[in-house]
Amino acid sequence: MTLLRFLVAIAPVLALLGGILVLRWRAYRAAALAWLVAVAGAATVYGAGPVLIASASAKGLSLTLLVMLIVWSAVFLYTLAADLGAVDSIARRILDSSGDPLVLGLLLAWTFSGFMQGIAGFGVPVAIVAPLMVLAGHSPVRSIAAVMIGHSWAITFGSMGSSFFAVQLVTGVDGAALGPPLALLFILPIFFTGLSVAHIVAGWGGVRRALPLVAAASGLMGALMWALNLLGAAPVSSMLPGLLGSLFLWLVGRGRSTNTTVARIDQVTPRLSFGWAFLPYGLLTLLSLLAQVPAIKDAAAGVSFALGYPGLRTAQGFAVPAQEAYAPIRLVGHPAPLLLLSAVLTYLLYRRRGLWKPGAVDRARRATVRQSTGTTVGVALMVMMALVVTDSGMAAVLADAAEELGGSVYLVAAPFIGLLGAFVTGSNTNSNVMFGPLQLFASQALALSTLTIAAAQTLGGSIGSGVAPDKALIGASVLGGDVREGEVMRRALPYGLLGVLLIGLEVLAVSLLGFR
Amino acid sequence: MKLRLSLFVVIISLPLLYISGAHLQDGQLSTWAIIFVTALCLWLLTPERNR
Repeated sequence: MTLLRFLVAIAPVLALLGGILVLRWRAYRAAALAWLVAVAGAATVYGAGPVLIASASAKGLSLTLLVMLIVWSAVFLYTLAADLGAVDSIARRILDSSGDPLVLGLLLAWTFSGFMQGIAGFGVPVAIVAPLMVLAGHSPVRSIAAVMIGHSWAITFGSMGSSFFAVQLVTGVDGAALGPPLALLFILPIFFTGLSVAHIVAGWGGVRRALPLVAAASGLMGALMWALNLLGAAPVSSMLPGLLGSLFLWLVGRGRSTNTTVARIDQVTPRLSFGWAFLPYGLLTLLSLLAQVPAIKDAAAGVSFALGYPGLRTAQGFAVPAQEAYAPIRLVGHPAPLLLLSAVLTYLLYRRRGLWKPGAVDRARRATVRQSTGTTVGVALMVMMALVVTDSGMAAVLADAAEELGGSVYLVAAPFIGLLGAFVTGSNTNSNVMFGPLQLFASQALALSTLTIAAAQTLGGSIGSGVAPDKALIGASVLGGDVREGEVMRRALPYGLLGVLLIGLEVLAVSLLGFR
Repeated sequence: MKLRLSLFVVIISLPLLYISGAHLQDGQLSTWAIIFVTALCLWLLTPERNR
């Protein structure tokens, strides 16, 4: 019976993995199968009644609403900025910044791609930056692999912090408590991904030459990530460190020799100056920081939307506690209103300056719907599956099995679980939703810090999402020609696996030192 | 088109599942809501025409 319960508990995750990896389905199809498998298992073996299954699935949709509002707004602002020529103007300014291929490679694939992840995500850094790497003189495979590993440090706090929000919601960890230590743990992955880019771009010689530069930039970026989390500004905690790192490398690289490949493509004058190009994201940063001012926070404290869920119990006695306000969407505190306000202010200021393009909003709206619909359906079904697995008691059974591993082994394994989820689904958010409940129960069963395990999950998910096959596919489809995804994966994956092993050891060390 | 329709179904599933399961806690209504989502999932599992 115990083996049957374990097999039924792991079946939804296996259905999801099998659908994506073996049957090569798109994520939403595999997620549909996984929800069906979860519901069948919950009803037949775990004694979950229809009320509990419906309530758990509705909880999943509440969570989806919270996360996907961020995603839709972030994609809208990005597509609007791209339509207005802002993204092109920023990219050209960066290409013009240095003639040293190593510094330019780091600037593009490591810091600028991190900034792009901060504002957009969903493979946009690979789609935008990999062609720029090729223009800077690198081979297509090397370019895609460098951007894949290079932007992976920025994924958890990227896309306006959607993955960070997801891990909080499924593990119940407070964002204010998780953010600052998580940012400190990110300093090692930031440093490692920088050196990985240097290795891909210029081999071991490049690593030696880049070491002081990467160390200094990592320190600055990590410190800013930490400070922003202390201020409660998690949604801009990838965007601004990415921008700071880019600025640092731009200043360092300015005096270096001129590269002819780079100089040639800059003959086209960008549509916007850097200041005007950066305006939508400058406004967003300003609004995010204003939203943390106590007086504003207090004034808007009561303005939120959330559904309440009752306490329920399976026929086998597994109890689900009542939730008075599940996954609340706050007017001040949720990134979507800030993103939309930035778009409105951008419209007003661009129009006043004569920089506005007629029809931009409509084109951005259409592009947002095209880009986000499949993701939304996939995330909704996946999160519904995760909540059915949690509320029916399946995740608790999986956590009991994980207990057999022992605390130390589990601490090293936890980021690999995050990596696996992100690798399969191509998303740090999905990985956190899929494996967050398992990690929560395992941390309780093994008496480990839930905060540490939640951090390990999303750290592994961040790197795993960067080196996931969908990013290689995006890069290969953008660059076209003879680029093979398999070759890109072989180039990028070893860095991802080594990075996650280092994270596992970092988490183990932090835990052994007594930090909780 | 299939995805857009799926998105619509997902959006209306939230009130259906919430009202039947969490709010009214009615087993029969909850069963119908689950059947509704099951139908969506089975439809998503069928191969697309243009493949």
